[in-house]
Amino acid sequence: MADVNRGNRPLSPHLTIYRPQLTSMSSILVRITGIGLLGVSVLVSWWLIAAATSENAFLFIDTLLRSWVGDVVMLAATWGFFYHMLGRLRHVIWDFGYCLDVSVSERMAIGMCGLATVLTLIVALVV
Amino acid sequence: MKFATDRKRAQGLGSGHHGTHHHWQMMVSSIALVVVVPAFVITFGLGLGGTYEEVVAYYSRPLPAIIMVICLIIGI
Repeated sequence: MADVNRGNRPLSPHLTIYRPQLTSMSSILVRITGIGLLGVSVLVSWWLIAAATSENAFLFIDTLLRSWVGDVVMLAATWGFFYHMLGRLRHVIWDFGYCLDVSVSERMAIGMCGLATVLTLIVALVV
Repeated sequence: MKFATDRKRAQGLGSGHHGTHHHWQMMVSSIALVVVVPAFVITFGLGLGGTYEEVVAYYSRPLPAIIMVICLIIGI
């Protein structure tokens, strides 16, 4: 038999048994928000082009963006915007050689989530 | 003694050969986004919600229009 020692070996870290870390998850979320914001930029461009085209074209997309679905999308987009911005800022800080310890990076990940949420709430309440 | 800077020595290396350029691009746009994102979110939030005439008038003004253009260019 090829595999006599089954079950008694150290396992390589496959994705399925890999414990998710704050650092990797917060980094992946920067990518996800980036891709999501590309979709939002399509909606915003559509809105602008429609405003430049005709009132009917504008009314369609404007009603969509101002419906409750649009409100949810815009609120999520605002959070994604701030999170993506802070995530990119974190990379700039890392690239200058600061805050590279795991514990500091993890605290920055929590800080990104928190600060993005606070900024989103401020925007939602004020604007 | 070599007088080349670190960036110069890194330029053209790596499998894509454009890594230094891309990295610099990301650094600059990342820092720019810190200013542009809040400006965009606030101006767009103020612009959205008006009637057709109000929106056209709002985005005919230079400041909201310029912020929108900068944000879309950096973003895409």
